Amino acid sequence: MVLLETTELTKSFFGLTALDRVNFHVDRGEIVGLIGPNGSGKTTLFNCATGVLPVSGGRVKFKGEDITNHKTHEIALKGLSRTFQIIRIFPKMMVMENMLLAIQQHQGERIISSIFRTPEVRRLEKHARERASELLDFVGLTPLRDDLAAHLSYGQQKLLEFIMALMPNPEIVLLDEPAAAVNPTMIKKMMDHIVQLNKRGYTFCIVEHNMDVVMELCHRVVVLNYGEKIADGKPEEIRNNRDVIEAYFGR
Amino acid sequence: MNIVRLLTLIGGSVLLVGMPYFVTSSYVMHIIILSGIYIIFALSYDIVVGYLGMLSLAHPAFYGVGAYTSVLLVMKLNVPFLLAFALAGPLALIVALIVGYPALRLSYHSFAIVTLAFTLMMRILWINWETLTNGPMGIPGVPRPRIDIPFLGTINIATSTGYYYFILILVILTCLFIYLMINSRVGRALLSIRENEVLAETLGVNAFKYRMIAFAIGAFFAGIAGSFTAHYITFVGPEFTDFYYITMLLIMVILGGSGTIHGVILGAIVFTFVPEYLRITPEFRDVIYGFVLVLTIIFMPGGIGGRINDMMERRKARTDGVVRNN
Repeated sequence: MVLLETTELTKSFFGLTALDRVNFHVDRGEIVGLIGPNGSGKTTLFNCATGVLPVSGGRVKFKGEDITNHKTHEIALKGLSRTFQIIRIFPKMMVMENMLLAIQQHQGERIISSIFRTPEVRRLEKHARERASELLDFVGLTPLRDDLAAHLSYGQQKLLEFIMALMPNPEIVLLDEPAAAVNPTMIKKMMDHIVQLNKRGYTFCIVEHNMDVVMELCHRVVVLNYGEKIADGKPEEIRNNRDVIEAYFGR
Repeated sequence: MNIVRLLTLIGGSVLLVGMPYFVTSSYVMHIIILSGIYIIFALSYDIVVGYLGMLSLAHPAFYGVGAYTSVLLVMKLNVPFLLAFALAGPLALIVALIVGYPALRLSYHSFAIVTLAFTLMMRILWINWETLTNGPMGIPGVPRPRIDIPFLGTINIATSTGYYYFILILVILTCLFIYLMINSRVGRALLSIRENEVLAETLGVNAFKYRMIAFAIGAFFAGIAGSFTAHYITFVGPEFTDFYYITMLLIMVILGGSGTIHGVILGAIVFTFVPEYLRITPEFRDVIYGFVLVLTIIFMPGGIGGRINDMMERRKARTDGVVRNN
């Protein structure tokens, strides 16, 4: 079943075409890799899908519903989470606070009841704390829960951002370079986490430059070059695809 | 430790409730009541400047809207005081929603300019709508609060003691509401927007909606402060919407410690009392006041509230260290 789908998605910045009629989809339960040389439009595709950038043409569908040019927060609440290429967390807050801020809007309590802290709101807060503890435990950040997020190492911050994206129990997680600038041990950890979560039913779409990660992790790989989709297939097919080799290494 | 806390609480309550009996000078009592007004005014400003992180220059406009609303309702339409007073806040809130709808979509700097323009426009409105506002002369002889309670009779607030208890109740309610709001979903949303708007949106926060809520709630309490002031000094005029208030509020909020409730309360009290007390030396008043401000910003860059937080943390760290060494 198709979970996230773009049809003829086009994005141009003042005449420069960053995405050119891209047809792309992610099925439920898949891990899809999105690769391509620098500037090929991978992050732009994420940004268009999540409403961070307005789309110039084409449609984006999520769970069969048209979400083209919907607001970022609306899309987030529908069950689409993402991380960023350059880490985005709340550095001046504690790890646990970061986790709680990641679910604040998803529990649907009313503002008035939230201000006067009804028993229902307290129950939801307890649930959020439990979920946060579970995820911190899962990636091994529990000992750091009361530390400032800024005091974490780069790899730990990546992990934190990753589990923040998981907090609201999303249907799909878009990961923008989860392994970039992270040491090999941490990359291995991150990959294990993704595989495990995928087995539990989470769907992932990953932008990544580290080919070992992509080839090992992904069920399917989509290749972009100059904003156009040039290949879509199993990792081994992509590895031997002439167009892809050309895009990366030249003729 | 708990006993110390309990004693502080009891001592504080006795001091607050017994204030009119401890303070005999009516002049000091007047400054205390003014501090109360400015606590509400500054706390409401801090919602926008401290928690939302936007420089709004529209606050004196909402103060004026609140003041004119209840005064005109009481004097022109003979509305009972309590009802008129209760409408001052909501009307300021509605005005804030109308102004905020376009203004809060703008960038930080444009927002400051648009809100400044709004303040100036409201002042011009008060001056020129003479049939309603009596123009630059203002409206003197505003009746003092008369609160009719069914079956119990009427409370006339005319003495400084009466005004003191009235503003004390308002201050407590304001602090309570703001404290609850900051610790609710609204507070968390504001915090995440201030720290990183793109991330907040990605986490599902409707930044625009929460900006509107914060801006409107700030205006609501500014309106209440304005209305109380008018009924206290028994006058309302265009000077209620004076740009001077922005300077005053910024001093109270920033030097008090923006983003902290206790800091802003202290800031409001200190910077109401200091300029008043400096009246003894009219020649040096502004010089000394400027000196106080510079010293505060040098030695307490996080404001009074920030300083207190630092001290508490250092103390906590020290006791934690002792425990760990054992």
